[in-house]
Amino acid sequence: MEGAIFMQAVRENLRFRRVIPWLFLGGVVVLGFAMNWETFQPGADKESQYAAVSSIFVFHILALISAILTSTILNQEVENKTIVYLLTRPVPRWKLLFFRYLACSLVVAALASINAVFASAGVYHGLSGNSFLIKDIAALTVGAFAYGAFFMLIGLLFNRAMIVCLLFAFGWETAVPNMPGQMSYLSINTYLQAIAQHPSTGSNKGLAALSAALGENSISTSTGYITMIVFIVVLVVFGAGWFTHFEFLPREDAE
Amino acid sequence: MITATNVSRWYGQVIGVNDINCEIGPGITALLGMNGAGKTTLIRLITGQLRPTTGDLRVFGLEPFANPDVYRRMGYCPEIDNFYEHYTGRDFVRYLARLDGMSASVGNARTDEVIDMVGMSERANRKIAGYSKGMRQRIKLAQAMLHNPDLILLDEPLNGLDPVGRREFMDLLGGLADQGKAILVSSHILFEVEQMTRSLLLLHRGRLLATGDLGVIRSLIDTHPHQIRIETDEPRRAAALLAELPNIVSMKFDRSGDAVQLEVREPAAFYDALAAAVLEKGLTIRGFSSPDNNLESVFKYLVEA
Amino acid sequence: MASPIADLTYRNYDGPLEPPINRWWAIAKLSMKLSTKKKGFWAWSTLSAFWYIILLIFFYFTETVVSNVGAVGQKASPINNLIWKDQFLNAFGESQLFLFILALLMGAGTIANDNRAKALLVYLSKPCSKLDYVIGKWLGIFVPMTIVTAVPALIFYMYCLMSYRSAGFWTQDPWLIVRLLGMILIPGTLYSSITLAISSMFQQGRLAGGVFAGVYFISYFITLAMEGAYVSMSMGGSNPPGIVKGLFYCSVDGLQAAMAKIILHTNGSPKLPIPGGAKFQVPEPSTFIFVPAFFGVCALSLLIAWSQIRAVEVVR
Repeated sequence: MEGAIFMQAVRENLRFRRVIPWLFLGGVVVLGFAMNWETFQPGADKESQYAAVSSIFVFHILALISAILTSTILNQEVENKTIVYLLTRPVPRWKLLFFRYLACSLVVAALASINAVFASAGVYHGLSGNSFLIKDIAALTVGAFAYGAFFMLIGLLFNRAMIVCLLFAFGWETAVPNMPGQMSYLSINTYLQAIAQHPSTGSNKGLAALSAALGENSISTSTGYITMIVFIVVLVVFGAGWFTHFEFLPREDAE
Repeated sequence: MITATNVSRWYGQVIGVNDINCEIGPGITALLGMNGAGKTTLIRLITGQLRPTTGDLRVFGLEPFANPDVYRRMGYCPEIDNFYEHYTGRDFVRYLARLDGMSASVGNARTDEVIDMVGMSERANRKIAGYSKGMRQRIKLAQAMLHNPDLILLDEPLNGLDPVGRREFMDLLGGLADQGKAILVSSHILFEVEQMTRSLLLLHRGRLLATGDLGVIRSLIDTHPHQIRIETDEPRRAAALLAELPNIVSMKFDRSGDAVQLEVREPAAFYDALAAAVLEKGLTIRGFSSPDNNLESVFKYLVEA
Repeated sequence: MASPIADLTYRNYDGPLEPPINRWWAIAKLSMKLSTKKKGFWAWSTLSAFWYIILLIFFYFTETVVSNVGAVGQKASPINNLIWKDQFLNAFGESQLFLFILALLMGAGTIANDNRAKALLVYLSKPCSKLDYVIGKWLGIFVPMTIVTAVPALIFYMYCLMSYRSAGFWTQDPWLIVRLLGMILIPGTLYSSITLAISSMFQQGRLAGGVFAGVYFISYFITLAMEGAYVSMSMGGSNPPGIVKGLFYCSVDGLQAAMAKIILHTNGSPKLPIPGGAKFQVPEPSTFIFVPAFFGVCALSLLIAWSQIRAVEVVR
């Protein structure tokens, strides 16, 4: 039963029409910029170039993929009214939510990692020589689960979750890591950057701002992992409890 | 199987169902009511999609809300016309079979079985997006019967089915009811519901107006005497003979002159007296009918009251 | 004499029929009504004017300080050094995110929801052509968005005209009002076209909104990255290559900034005349590339919407 929920969610998220925009984004935008990044940051070494492309594009695309795909966990079912078929099956609600979340987060992680590979291939003109790629894939996987958990909860709590998620992904997650003092600790991206441990973007404040590297970030990799794991567990448990306890009925209005 | 005790459900300031008390057991029970009467709310309460605001609702002795133990024995065919449109009918049913806890092989076999039962074997491999209304309805029915449940709830199941499909479907439900399953059917099509069952639950503006056997309910509606139409070659003689009976309220002749229409209280006593009149007084009767002894009239009388 | 018993039989509509021109307007009105009913519409519309409010606050404090310092200080008032049209450009730039959210709110579901509800079949079964439908939907987004852009800009223009003529508001560019009228049409034109295209490709407003947001934000990051690169290179004393300047304008935001700079005929200047403010502005782009590009994007978007809107349901 759990396998069926998981596999159905994976298949749903890996539908050609769903995946192709992200692959296009990776194959054209990320790869294109990665191959030519030296033009925009003259004199930067390969590591800095990769770090810039990864922080600016790959990590922001991760948030975007997550915001869009996470809505398939629940909101899409509620909107399409197909939630009825799921809620009247002999499956505990928490399992339904958890395995769909698991599947969705893995797909998000895979798509984001493909973008990272494109970035690496663009900068290094091949797949070898990038010592940051593995760390980045780890950070992106943790990020997929963290964003997924947060957006899933937003989806459980709000009707128009997509706008809230997008504002969080591109407003909060861009601005807060660059804030002075300890405000940056309130952003998921701060911890992901701590896991990835990208090198500095140098004196370029514009790029540093985009890379979410202006604020104070003295967090170690292990702290980044621990904080994110606690964050994910708390949010998933809370979300599962909420979903089990409250009613989720199809919306009758057509927006 | 289903016991509702003082069940009410509010949506903010709007009441969905109000103080419902009923018991539903094996056999087919019709859930009737006009639009907005609370039928869907009651079904959602029974299927555990909603919680009652007040009162107690039990299905198999358990609270149904988000309760897998209840869902293991319950099948639900919702009114909505929404599916995973890009799935084929077979894939859709198969997926739900897996959610019912069946292994892949058992799920596949059972999927084929129920798809065959609803007459969709030929078309089950096409995408749902291309299905007609009737085909969608059949697939919904198939998924409701997948796990051979003891209780089946069907919200407007006859919508979109062609006459042959309706007949087949009614026969199918009859067969399931004969196996001792409880089937609750919500419908607006009174004529067809009447062919399925005499047991009904009538909702109006959120309240339960009547529950039980149609005949018993009809006999209890005193404000509307039963209408009986007797076709005979000698209507005036028949009228003279029958006028002596104490439970006749009124009588009139058809314009065609070959029938008399009566309004009668205590129809059982009247039918005994009519039999006596036929046998003892030699009254010739070609036929008789009771135009308001049907679900539509009962529905109308109760709702108007 | 009329019968005492009312005739309740069904009759066809025999009231006045509106001329055909009003069919698209009926669709536009319905769209606008739905948008203006949303609380978010009013909230984001108000927020989109925030830069004008900041400017007014800045002017107020500057003037208060100047009046306290006296006549000597008046000459040094930063208001006298303002390039006025750049204030409109800056306010326009700052309103972009809010206008995007408004477009998302109004436009994401505009056709997608009709697709889901199969309302297109109803619309197009009326004596209402596909053109009526597209124009109606387009205007349903364009009109409110243009009003939201225009109102604060024109109020600010009137205020400055009455208060700061002595600071060069009129003499710097007497044609500013005409340029402004051109500038305020930009967001409405672009957003209504793009949202219509994206919305027509989906059956769910949520997905259409997600894709639109994706296009907006990813392209926005390109603009930001190019701005960072431009500023960094300029600070380092090197001349940024043309591709940096070009790519800066290659986003939903950037394209509007390009059009605004072209219409206002300015390179832009720092947001507030505060010492230490950003000095480097990406210059006005080529009119011959970006004006056709802007209208090309709009036309292409409308073409996509046109091809996607079908009177019959197509099962793929």
